[in-house]
Amino acid sequence: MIIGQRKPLKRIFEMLDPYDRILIAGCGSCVTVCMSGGLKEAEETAAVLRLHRQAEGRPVEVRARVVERQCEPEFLETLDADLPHFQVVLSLACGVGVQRYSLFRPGKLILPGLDTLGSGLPVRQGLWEEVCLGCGDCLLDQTAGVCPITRCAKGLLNGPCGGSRNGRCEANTENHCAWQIIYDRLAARGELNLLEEYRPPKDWSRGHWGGPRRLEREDMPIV
Amino acid sequence: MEKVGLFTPIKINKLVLKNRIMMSPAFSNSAAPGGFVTDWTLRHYQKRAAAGVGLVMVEHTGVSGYYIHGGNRLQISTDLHVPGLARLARVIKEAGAAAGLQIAHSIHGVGLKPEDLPKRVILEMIREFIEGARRAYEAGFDVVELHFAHTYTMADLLSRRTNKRLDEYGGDVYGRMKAHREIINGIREMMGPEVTLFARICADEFVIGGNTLKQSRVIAGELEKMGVDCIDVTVGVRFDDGGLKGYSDLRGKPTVEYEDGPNLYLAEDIKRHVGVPVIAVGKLGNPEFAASVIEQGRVDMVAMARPLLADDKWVKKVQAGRPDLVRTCVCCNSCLYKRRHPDDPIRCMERECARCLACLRNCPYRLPFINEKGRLEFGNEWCDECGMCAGLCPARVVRFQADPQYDWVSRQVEPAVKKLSPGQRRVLVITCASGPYRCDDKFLPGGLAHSAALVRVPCPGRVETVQMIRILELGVDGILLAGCRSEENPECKYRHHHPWAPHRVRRAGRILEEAGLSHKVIAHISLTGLEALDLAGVTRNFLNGLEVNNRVGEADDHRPEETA
Amino acid sequence: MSKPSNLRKVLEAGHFAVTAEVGPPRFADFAPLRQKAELLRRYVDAVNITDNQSAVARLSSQACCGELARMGIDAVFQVTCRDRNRIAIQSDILGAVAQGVRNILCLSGDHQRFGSDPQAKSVFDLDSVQLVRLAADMTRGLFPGGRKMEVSLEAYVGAVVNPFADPVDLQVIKLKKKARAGARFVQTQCVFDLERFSRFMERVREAGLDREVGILAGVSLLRSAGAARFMQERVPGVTVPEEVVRRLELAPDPEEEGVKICVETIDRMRNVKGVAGVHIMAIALEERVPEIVRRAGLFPRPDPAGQALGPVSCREGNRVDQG
Repeated sequence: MIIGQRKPLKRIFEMLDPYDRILIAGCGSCVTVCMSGGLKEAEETAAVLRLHRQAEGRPVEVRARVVERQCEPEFLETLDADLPHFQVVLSLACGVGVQRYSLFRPGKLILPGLDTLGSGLPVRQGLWEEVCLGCGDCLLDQTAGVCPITRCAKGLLNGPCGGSRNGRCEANTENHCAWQIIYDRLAARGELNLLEEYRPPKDWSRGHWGGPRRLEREDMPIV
Repeated sequence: MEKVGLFTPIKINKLVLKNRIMMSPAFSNSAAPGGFVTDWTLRHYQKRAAAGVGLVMVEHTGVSGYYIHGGNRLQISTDLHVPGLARLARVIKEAGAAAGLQIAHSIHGVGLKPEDLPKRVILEMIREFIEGARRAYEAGFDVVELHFAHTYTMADLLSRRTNKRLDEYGGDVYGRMKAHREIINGIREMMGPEVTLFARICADEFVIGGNTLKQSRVIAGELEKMGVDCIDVTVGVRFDDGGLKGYSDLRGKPTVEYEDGPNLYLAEDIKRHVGVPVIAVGKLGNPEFAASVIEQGRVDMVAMARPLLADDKWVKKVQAGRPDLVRTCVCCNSCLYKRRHPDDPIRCMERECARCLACLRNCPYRLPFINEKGRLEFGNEWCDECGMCAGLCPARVVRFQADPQYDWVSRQVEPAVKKLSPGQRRVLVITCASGPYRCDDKFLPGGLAHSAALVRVPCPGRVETVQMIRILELGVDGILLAGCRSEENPECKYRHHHPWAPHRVRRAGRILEEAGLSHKVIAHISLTGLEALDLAGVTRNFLNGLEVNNRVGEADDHRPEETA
Repeated sequence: MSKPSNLRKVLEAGHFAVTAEVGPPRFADFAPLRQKAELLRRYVDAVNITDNQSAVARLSSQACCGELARMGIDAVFQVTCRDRNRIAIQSDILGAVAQGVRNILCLSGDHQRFGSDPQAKSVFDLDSVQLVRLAADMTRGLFPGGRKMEVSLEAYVGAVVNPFADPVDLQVIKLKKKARAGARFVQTQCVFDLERFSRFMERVREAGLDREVGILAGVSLLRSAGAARFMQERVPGVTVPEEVVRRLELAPDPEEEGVKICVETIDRMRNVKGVAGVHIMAIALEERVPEIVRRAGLFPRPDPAGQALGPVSCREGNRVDQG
C-alpha cells in the first residue's frame, strides 16, 4: 500500500494562505489505512486550519470530505456538488490522487496535503515502513524476500557495505541493515550459497529511470 | 403440519406472499423535489424485488405535503404523485415481489407536538391518510402500511409520554388511538375488507414515560379488531428523550454491539396477544438467525432494511443455499447517518471500511476476525463495548454509541464552554465518567465556575486529537484530561483506552507547536484517588501553569516583530 | 606506453607493501596535495586519494591522482559508487588511467547522510562488487556492455573490506566475490582490535583469499582520545576498543601515543599470516607517516625501478599469487 505523511502544517498554511473557502479531500484507501489522509485526518487538518486562522483573526470555511479512492475520477465526481463553492482543494491523497484530481478537474486548484513516502507495509500499530521501490525487475527470489534496493540505504546488490554495526544501518541506526536480515533469513533456510553468486548491475531502465512506465493490456480497451 | 421456514409462502388477507422476508421501509432520500419518485427510487426497490424479497415495503411516504419530515421524502399527498408511485408499484410487481407502501404523517418534521394540533388538523390528517391509502391502492400497491411508530404523528398520538391532549384524541390508550381507529375505519369503508392493510407500531418506545409492552399489547389487540391484517412490530426511534442517535433511536437501529434480533422478544410477545400475522424487525440480517426465528414460530415474517442495503441479493443467496456469499451488514448505521452529502441517497457505506484491520489487531478481546470469505467480521457476542475499535477506526466506520461522538464537541462541550466568562483564561477539564475516579460537577467549586468547565466522558483516553483541536476552536485556552491510574483501576472496561491519553495529548501538542499555537495547552494527568477529590486544586494548578506559559508565549509572539 | 603500477610490482614481488592516504583539499589548488605527496615520496609504495570521503565534497580524486602521476608518484584512484553512475565511472576511470594512474580502488562509499550535503540524491547505480568487475573487465578490454575497447585499460584493481562489520560471514563472502570479480589488492578498514582482525584473517585464509588478493591492513593514526571516540561513534564501520581510547587518554602526548599505537599495530600486522602490507590512514597528520614507516622498520621502500632495497625480504605467506 502507498504510505504518506501529512506535510508540515506550516507548509500547508502557506499554501492555503490566500484562500478562505477550502475543501479538504481525504482518500479512503491506502492513506486512510496508514492513518494520514483519511476522514479523521481530513477533519483534524480542517480543525487545526480553522484554529490557525482563528488565531490570525481571518476566519476560514473548511469542509472535510473523503472519497473512496482519489485515483479514480468516478469517486472524485461525488465531490462535484460541493466543488464550485470552494476556491481550492487540499487533497490528502498520495501523489497519484492529487494528480488524478488535478487532471480530472483542471479548472480547480488542487494542492497536495501529503508527502508520499512510497510503497510500505505496517510493521506494527502506528508504524509503516517503505519496502518496495517499484524497480520493475523484482529480485526477491534471490534475497530471501527482503528487498535490498529499498531497504538498504545504498541499494547494494552483492552484500552489505562496511558500515553495518550490530545489525543496524550506517545511514540511520533506527533501521535494520537489510543485508543482515537477508543473511539471517538465508542462513535459517540453509541457502547462504545464494549470497555467493555474483549479481550483475541492475537494469534500471525497467525502473523509473527509463522514463515513466506504462502498463497496458491490449485486450482491455473495448472499441 | 408442514414445517414453516423463511421461504414458506404466507397468506395475509387475500394476498399471498411467496416468502416471509419483507424489505423494511427505510427512508432512501431519493425523491425528487415535491416528493416524486425518481429513477433512483425505482432502481433501488426493483433490484431488491428482483432478488426475491417477498414483500417490498416502500419507504415512508407523506400523506400531507406540509406535515412531513426533512430530506428528500416521497409524498402521496396529491393525485399528481400517483403516476410515479404506480410505476414504482409496477416495477416491483414485475420483478416478482408484492408491493407495499408505507404512509405517514409527521408533525415532528415541522416541530409540533400532539397538543399543538387543533382538532381540525387531526380530522384533516385522518382524511389525508384515507386519501393516501386510496391513492396507494389505486397506484397498484398490494399493501398499505400505516406508520404508527417511530417519530411520526400517529406514534406521538399513541404515546403515553407525548400525547397530552385533553380532548377525545388523548387520555387513555383507547382515546390515544381514536384517530387510528378513524383512519382504519375510513380506509375499510372506502376500499372494502379485501385490501391488505398493515400497521407498524412501537412495541416499546424506550423513552422514559413512553409506551411499553403493556400499552402496545392493547394497541395491537385493538388494531386487530379494527381490521388491520398484519402488525409490523418495531421499537424506539422516539426522539423525545435522547434525540437523534439517543437510546431509543439506537434500539430501533441496533448497532454492532447488539446481538442478533435484540427486539425480537417484543414482537414475539405481541404475537402471543394477536391472531393476525406479526412481523419483526431489527438486526435480523444473519441468515441463520432469521431462518430460526421463522422456524421456531417466534414471528410470522422478518423485515430487514440494512442487510438488504449491504447486499441487495441477500434473499437470492440465502434461498440458493449460499448464505456464505452474503455481504454481511456490520450494522454500522453509516448508511443512515454518514451520507457524504445531505442529498445523497441512502446506500451501504460499509465499503468505506479501508480494511486497515486496526480493529482486528487491537481488540483487547480479539473479537473481530477475517472469515472464510476473506471478509472482516465482528464476533460481537463477547464484546465489552470498550470502544477500542471505534477509537482506532480511521474511516469512522466502526462507531459506538458510548464513544465521544463525532458531534460530541458541539453537543456537550460547546454548551459547557459557553457558560464560561470570555474575559478570563478558560479551560476545559475532561474527566472520567465511569470508574471510581469519576468526577462530578461538584468537584469544581464556585470559584472556578467562570474559568473551568467540566465534561465527563467514558474515558479521557477516548478523546481523539481532532476533538481536542475542535475544542480549542471554541476559544478555550487549555484542555486538561484528567484520567485515572489504570493500575489502581483494573476492572474498568475502558482500561485499554487509558494509555492512549498521553499519546494523543502529545500528538495534539506537536500539532499545536507545528501550527505555531503553543500558547494553547493540552495536558494529561493521571489522578490519584486524593487528587480526584481535589480536582479543583488540580485545575487551579493547571490554570496557573497556563498563565505562566502564556506569559512566555506572549513574549515569543512579540519577538519577531521586534526583530523585523 | 607508460609505467606500470608500483604497488602491483611490490605486492607481486612479495614485499610488505606500504600505502598512505591523502585527502584532497576543499579548494581548487593542488599545492597542499603536492606538499603532502612530497613528504610521502620514498616512504610509501603508493599514495591513495580519497573520493569525497565521508561524503564531503572535495577536489576530485581523479584530478588529484593525475597530478600525483605527473609528479611520478604511484597513485591509487578511489572510486565510490555514491556519486556517479556507471557512465561517469567508466569515463573517470578512463580519465585517470590516461593521466598515468595505475591503481583503481573500488568502494561503495559512505552514505551522504553524515556528509556535507545530506540532502543529496545518491546514485549507487553499481555496488562495489559490480564496480570491481567493471574495472577488471576494462583491463581485459571489455566495456560493461560487452563491447570491445580499442585499447584495454592498464590498471591494478583493488577493493576494500571491513573486518569489523556485521555479519563477518557476509564480509568474507563479499571479499570472495570481489576477488572473483577481479580485485587484486584489498584494503581493510582501520584495524585497532587485532584480536578480531586475526579471527577475520583466519576466515580469509580458510577461504584461500589471502593467496588471491594482496591484503593491505588499514592502520590509522589517532590524534587524541576525542578523535578515537569520534571514530568509534561517527565513522561508519570503525571499531575502536576501549583500551586504545584509554591509552590515548592517559598519555601525556596523545599524538605521540597515537604514533606508537600505529607502529605497534604495523609490527603485529607483519606477523599476521596473509597480510601483504599496510595502508596508513593519517588524515591531516600525513607529516607523521614517514616517521611511522621508519619506526616500523619499513624504510627504505623497494625501488620503483624494480630491485628490492632495504631490510624487507620476501616472505612466503605474503606472496601474492596472481593465479
